[in-house]
Amino acid sequence: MWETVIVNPLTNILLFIYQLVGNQFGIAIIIFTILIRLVTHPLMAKQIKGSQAMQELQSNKEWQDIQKKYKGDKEKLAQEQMRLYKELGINPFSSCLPMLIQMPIIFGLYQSIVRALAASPAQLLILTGAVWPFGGLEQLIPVNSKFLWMNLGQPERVYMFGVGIPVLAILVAITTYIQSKVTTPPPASPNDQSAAMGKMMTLYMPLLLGYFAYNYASGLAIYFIISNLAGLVQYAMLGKVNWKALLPGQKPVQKPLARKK
Amino acid sequence: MKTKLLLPIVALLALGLFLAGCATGMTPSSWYGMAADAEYAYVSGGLYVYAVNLETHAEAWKFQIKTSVYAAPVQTEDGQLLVGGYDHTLYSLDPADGSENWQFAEARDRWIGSPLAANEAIYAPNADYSLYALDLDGDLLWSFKADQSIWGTPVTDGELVYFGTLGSKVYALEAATGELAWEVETDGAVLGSPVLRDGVLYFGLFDGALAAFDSRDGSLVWQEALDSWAWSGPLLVDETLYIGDGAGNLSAFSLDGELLWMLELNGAIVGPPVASGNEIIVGTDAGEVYFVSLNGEDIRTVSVGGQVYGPLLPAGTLTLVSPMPGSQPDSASLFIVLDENGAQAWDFTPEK
Repeated sequence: MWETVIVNPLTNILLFIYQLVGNQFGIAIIIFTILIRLVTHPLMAKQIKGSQAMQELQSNKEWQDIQKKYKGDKEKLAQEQMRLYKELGINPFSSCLPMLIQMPIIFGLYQSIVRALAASPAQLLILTGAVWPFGGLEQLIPVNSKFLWMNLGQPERVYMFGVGIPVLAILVAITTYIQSKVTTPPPASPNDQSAAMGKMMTLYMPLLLGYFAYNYASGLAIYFIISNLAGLVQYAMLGKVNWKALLPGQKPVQKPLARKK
Repeated sequence: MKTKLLLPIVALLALGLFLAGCATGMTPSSWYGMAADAEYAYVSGGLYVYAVNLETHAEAWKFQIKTSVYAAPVQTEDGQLLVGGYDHTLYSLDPADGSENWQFAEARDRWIGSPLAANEAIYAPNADYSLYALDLDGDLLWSFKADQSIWGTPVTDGELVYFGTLGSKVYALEAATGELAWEVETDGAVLGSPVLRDGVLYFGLFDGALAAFDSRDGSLVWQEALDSWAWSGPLLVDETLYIGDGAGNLSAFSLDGELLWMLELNGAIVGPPVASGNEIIVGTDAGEVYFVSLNGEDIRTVSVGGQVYGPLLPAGTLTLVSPMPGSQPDSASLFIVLDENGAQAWDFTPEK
């Protein structure tokens, strides 16, 4: 089901783009990643707005009061929270629902890149069964894995004086850190738990993705980098990029929420 | 607070497992490769290379590879057993006890195709686009960088070494120096090994063709279309070429490219046909092994239960078959052995 509905169609679209750009798989990954980001942009915009509203809610005086007041009565607390959501015009699912819709597409995109690269006999055999029998796509495989100085099916290294430098893995870690740092909303209060979680993610996510870029196919590293850059552009378009967060010692202040009229 | 901080850690771990699973693939990367001499079968079986005594059916030794190994082992003229792993290392083993003679670790990608051992040299194709020539001590003589990965074993006439690439090219190199003699573009990728006879090279092409090239300059002699992709090169017996394709056809061609006969078998044919006595044997992904007379008129079929992708291995009157790992329900056999009547004589399951 997952293969038929998500991975195989994305793999074929990726191969179609590969054909359009003259059998350059690196270019195809870049275009494909940007394309998917564009298609899912409305969902992401909703998610960003929704999560910012939820974040800002944490510093709302009335929200904090009802948390204290109905600490022992979960049912009443839920009722009061719903009332406040309504009054402030916040949909509590507006941050997670678009995210849930996007996730299969993003994971599918990642899997389709791995599938199309087909770096082993078994993977190539699976790819032959996944390619649609029209549009000349069957003639495209195995794909040309050479792009610039890279073999897209292998981890990337630039050799200088006999030492392999993982340039793409470093770029993945840097762009992931920057994206996370400048797009994470400032904490609503010093005790804000979600902010603490965000801080952890900002620290560990670049390490995790950098590790993958270091160990796995460089085609995936290109995907991570373009995805990070596209994410930055998306946040910038929505005016949600805080470049000052990159400077040390900056403590941005959160604006209070306005009640819906 | 602590519980909430666990959430991102769990999320990161889950993401990590997902990415790793997708990047590496949850299924085996290939099918097992096999070779045999009079006494032993040698099998590249994932994490280990096994030597199995063909008489006692017992494991003689096993050699562990850092990641995994699938390319069929190859024996050199001086009795070394060569095996290339997915850990980018080519190993020379002593076939008597599995001890390591030497290793060559300068390649930057997997050893998917088996090396060719000929004329006191080793010509080893790697997925890092390079063909490496080594002496029998494992020292590098020369290397040649091609346009794309090389998955098929080269052939040589003593003067030149010939091979094809996934980038749809055929190369001829000076065997002694690695200098390029000629290169030609083909219509499709070359995954398998060529056959060389009387100055003509015969390749199976992945765009669905059998092609013949002049070994002196690479000029195309003839090319005949198949119904689907050709994963492996052809088998040459006497004056006839036998080749399987992705549509499940087993075709026989004369050396002039004339189609002599074609059989529609059940399932795609990935591995090359092999010869045994007056028959050729071929496996399909429908889990069938076919014993076909050289004229294509008599056929015996044996069902082995799992997809057969790798080459079959005739050993005397026996035939070793290694179905795709995980494709046989309730079986952990590395390979099964068919007798001359096609009945299963015994199987080998490694000890855990």
